[in-house]
Amino acid sequence: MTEAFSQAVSNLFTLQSLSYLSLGTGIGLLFGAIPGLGGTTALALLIPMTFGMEPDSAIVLVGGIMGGVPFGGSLSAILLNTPGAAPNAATCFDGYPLAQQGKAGTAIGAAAAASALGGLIGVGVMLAVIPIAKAIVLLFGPPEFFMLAVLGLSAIAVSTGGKLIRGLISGGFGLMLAFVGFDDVGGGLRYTAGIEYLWDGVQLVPALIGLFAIAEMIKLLTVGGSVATVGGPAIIDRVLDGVKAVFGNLATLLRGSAIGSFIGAVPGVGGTVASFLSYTLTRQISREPETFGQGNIQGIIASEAANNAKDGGALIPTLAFGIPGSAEMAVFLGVLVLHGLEPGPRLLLEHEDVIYGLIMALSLACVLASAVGLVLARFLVLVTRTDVQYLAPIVISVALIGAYALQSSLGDVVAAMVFGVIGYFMVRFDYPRITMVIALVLGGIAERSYHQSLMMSDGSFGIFFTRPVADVLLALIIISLTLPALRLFARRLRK
Amino acid sequence: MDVDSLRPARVPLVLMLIMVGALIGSYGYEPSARALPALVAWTTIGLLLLELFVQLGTPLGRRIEAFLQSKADGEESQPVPVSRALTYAVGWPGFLVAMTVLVGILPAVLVYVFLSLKFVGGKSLPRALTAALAVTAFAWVLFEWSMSYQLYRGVLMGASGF
Repeated sequence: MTEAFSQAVSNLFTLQSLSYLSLGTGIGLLFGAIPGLGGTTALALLIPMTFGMEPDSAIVLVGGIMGGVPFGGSLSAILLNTPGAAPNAATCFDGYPLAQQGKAGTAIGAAAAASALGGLIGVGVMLAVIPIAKAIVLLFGPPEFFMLAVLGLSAIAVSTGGKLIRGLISGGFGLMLAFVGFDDVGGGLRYTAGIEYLWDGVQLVPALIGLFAIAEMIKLLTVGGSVATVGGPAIIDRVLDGVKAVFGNLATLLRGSAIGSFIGAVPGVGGTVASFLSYTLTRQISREPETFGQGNIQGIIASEAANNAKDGGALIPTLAFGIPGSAEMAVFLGVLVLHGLEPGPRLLLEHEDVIYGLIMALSLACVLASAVGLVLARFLVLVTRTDVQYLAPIVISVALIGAYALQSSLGDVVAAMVFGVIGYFMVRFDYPRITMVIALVLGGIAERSYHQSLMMSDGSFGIFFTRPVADVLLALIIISLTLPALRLFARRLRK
Repeated sequence: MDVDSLRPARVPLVLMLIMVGALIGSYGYEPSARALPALVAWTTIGLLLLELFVQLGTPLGRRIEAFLQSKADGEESQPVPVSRALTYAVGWPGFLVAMTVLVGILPAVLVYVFLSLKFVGGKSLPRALTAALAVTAFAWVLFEWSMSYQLYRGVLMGASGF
């Protein structure tokens, strides 16, 4: 192990490797910040470019991209209320209100520090957990996945600023949208209305681009002005306040990182659930839950730490068993295979240096991306002061190009526009958009797991209530749904 | 009960109609295919009924609101824009999509950003042109030049449609 580690260190700290790392981090930041592109697109587009590279160099480049994407996504979430990718959406809740209050620098500082530390903790957890990874992954079968999907949805509905019913209604519509297209079990088509584009279902990324980027720009265009509603010059001297806030909220950071690492390791669930669970839990155990959604720095720390820590966790099933934890990991798996590295237990035994090289590249990229973000923060906050008449056409153009680039589909461009209008009306009539997005992510997992569970139990619903992990998840669902009422009850008792 | 007091019920009622349509549609599918859609549709209709009670301010609605601590803003949370501003805000991106289909992404972006800045944003000709060229160049450099990724060319330029 020591030999492999030192080999990885000597491979990484060369001019060539550090150049690839910086390039990867820069690409990751850029792709992360542009709504709709994200890590999956960046990796998918860059796979051919790595073909002629040595495996070590390709892994370093990929590590840089994976480390840079999450923080890039948080920049657009904070500055434009437009998450670069779904896992960054939780950062919007408190990051954007801070930007509106003229404290975008503080928010970016907190996001940078939480991202870097969360990423490092996630990687540390991965190193510690690899020996027992198999046991953890095997704890989750279809009933547990189903319960996890329901928990994700209910916990997020509760976190939507006191709009539980509307959050659940949006979630219901999101689930119905997730059922559009081919039915995984029977193979028939559902709710496609004869439109061929819908056969593969409603695509998450165009929906995300529409609901956030385009809806936000439509809203801004109707009211005019700029993102920041506070007048005066851009405040650019509070970046370090955000960094300090992270060290003042270490419990939030560690909790978010732990949630991110754990959820990231569960295949198919991904960073969106991780960041929202972390955000929701932090809000629910806070003494001032009402300040969340108004610009509470803890909200940013919780979601960013989880979002960055999840990459370390997601690498566990990807590298150890060849089971990708997310779409991004699936593409990463392709990069490994392209370079002759077959994921699985043998990879851990025979290519330890590659594993450590990746781990170190990912760690360095997290820190590098955050450092670059901190340096650029003073320029980036100017975006919040830009006249919306400039900002909106540019953001809409880039977002629609991002929607197209994902799978070269014109249908995605139209879908993004349709979701933009839906998103605008959801904002206008005060229905949370985020539960719809989460439901779109979780709908497929929930339905597949539901049917698999019933097949396992010959149609008995008892399977959801008789397994220890499923029971724990069920208890968490009940707690999350009744917590507002329990909190009210406790407050009345105290009075 | 006057007409104004029913105003907050508009949105839940419209959503309920959509969900009832989806529920009816689900019964046209195989039992396994409709199991979850029907369950979700019934649950969402139930939630919409609760929302309706809350919005109409009935005694039951007030109890639900207190129990779930679910805010019932009722009216639009955002200031209602004048119809012309909203038409522009939705219409211009719609124009971009239509142009994209016809002439392709890069020319559409160039024309959309320029026209939007010049005629909606009221910016000067040089500023509108510079911004339009900059965005188009950024898209070209990022996709076509650096990644050799061909953006959509438009049906008028010979590309296939949807």
